[in-house]
Amino acid sequence: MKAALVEQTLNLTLNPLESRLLQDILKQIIANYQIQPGDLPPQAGAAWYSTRGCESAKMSVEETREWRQTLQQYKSANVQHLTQWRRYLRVPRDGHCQLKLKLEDAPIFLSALNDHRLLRAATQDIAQKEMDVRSLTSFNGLSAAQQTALSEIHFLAWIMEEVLHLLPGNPGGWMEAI
Amino acid sequence: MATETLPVPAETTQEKIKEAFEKNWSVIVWNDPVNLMSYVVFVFMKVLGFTKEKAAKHMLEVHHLGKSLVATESRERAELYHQQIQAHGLTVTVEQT
Repeated sequence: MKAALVEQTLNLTLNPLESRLLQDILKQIIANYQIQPGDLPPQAGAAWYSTRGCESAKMSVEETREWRQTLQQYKSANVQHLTQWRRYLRVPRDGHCQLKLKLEDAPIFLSALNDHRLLRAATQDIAQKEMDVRSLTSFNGLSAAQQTALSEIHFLAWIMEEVLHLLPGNPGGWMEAI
Repeated sequence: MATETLPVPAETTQEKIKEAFEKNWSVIVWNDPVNLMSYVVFVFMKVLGFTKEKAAKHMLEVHHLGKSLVATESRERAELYHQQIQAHGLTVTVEQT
């Protein structure tokens, strides 16, 4: 995957395998964004709609319910963008697939990819130990489902890092700031 | 039926106004193993309007100390930050100080 910023458009160029993987992930995100918080698997619901902050803010049961509802509406409002981006990835040109994102839509793209990372980690019990796996031996010690989830998590991290370097203020280059 | 006007609970009203505007609600972001460091910097810049330097400082606090106090605001503003930060996938709490 290569990412470039041309004027106000982010151009992501993916090979067919990367494109297929991202299409599958976007499909899952689109489906999950349309599910009500209470209907998601418990770990997934806790990852996306945790009420820890509502409890600490002493919000009432009704306020918490509305708060979760608003959060779900925020996510589901992005389904149209995600569907369009998934469609773009289906059309290869010169052996590659290109995804063009308006710079202003980059936060939606990043949040969606990040949500999938969080959901996969939560549903496959991926914690710090698994995130720190660097050797093939350790990786092979994980279950097949964890290996798949961890691969997706790192694949999306790679895309996100590339995009973050191209955004205004270059948040991806935070190390230069310290 | 006789009607009686109840006295206005002046203190309670004042307390409510004070509570609404007093900046005594802390917004705290917590560490987690999945969110990328650069993504956390991005969220702090976007939602809280931090410079990259300030965002990086708070992100490193989250990373090394487990949490960072990113804002102290009125309840309304703190709840807005709470919703926006959580919408980006970070773990955040709001506490009255």
